[in-house]
Amino acid sequence: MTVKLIGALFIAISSFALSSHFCSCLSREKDELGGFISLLNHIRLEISCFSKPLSQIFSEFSCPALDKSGFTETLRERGFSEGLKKNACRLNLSKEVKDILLSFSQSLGHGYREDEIKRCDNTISCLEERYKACLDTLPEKRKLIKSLSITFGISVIVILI
Amino acid sequence: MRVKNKIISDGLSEVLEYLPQNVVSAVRELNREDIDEIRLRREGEVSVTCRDENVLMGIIISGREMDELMLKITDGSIYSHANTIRQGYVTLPFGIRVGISGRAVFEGGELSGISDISSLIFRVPRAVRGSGDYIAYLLRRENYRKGVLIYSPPGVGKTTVLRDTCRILSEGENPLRVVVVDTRDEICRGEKFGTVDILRGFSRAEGIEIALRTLSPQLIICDEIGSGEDSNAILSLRHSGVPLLASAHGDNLRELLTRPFICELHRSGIFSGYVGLNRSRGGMEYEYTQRKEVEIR
Repeated sequence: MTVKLIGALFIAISSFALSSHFCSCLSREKDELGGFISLLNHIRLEISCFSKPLSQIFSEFSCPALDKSGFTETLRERGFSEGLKKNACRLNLSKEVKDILLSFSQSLGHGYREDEIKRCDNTISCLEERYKACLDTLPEKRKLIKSLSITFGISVIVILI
Repeated sequence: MRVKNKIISDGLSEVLEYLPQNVVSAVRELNREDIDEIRLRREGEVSVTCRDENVLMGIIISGREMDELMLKITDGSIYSHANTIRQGYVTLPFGIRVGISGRAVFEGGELSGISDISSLIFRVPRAVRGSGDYIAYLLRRENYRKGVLIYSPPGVGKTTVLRDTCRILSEGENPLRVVVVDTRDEICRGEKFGTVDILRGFSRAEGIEIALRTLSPQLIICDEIGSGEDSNAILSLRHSGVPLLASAHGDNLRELLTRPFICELHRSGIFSGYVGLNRSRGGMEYEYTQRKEVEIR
């Protein structure tokens, strides 16, 4: 009986940890998406107002959500594309968002000011749409994950006992 | 007058840092000390200019290499060099100037940029100790009341002479407050001289105006004057008491003075004289003509 109780307790804690992990992943996705929107806004502002070179623009950018994944450090050292490629597995973004960012980064710096600003605007609006969708669905997704975890935990405990 | 100058620094190694490895090896194998330019052409042969000799290197540059090179010289940010690209060049650190040729792009009837870059011409910068001694002497002789105009065909060393004169006059026991209007960021190349204030990237007209208004210079230096746009600003120096040391493209003095703008400056008496530059083995030749010796019909 004691073993069963310990097992049940272990399963309950595991289910709780699992649901917390998934919920924090969702939050990180939202924060990282917000971080990339700030980065793009920063790039747009520095290009449109000061025409600064990208290396300088990147060196002046910081965002906690992107710092955590190691993206900002690679961004400063090796540029946007390399930052995305190197930290792809550490970024909690959907493949679609990663593709948008990668295609933006590959042509960044290749054009004149007006082209760069247009490209920034387009990508920012794309990302903002996804950020808004992410914000809208976040509470529902959290609820779903929590309910699934609880159901899973209870079912296993019931089967065990 | 002929003066032997000593080259104290050659920017060739800095130029080579930007070039593809096969070009670097070929230039090193060439082993020449008098390389003035390295010319790279899209789908064309690389050549090197040594004084007046053009040496073909037998290397073809692909379109992709050319695009990568363009991104490299602009630090991956073409837009940040748009103003100078529009004028056909990019300036790199150490005063390396890269001439650009390609297809002109117009927007609303105005030149907005260059696309399909076809050639990149890397000019090797040099610092030649002593090349400015003679010009500094001429300015001193006039007690810094009148300026001097240096002329020569492109690539002879006008900028090098301006740079060394700037160094001489801004250092030592009685340095002058020198303002350099460094339109192409080539004269001072990021170096710092004693009492020099640098206006980087300004047009000559804007730079001279700002220098006079706010920097109280004792000498203004600018490179490659010659367009009518500069004329009002330069003529305004006439009553300011600030001498101008400038350079202009020109084969000889007679040809130089056929240009209406230069002729106008001559009549105004801005310059006390004109110095023609010629390169000779181991040094530079200076041909000085006093203003009063020149007659214009």
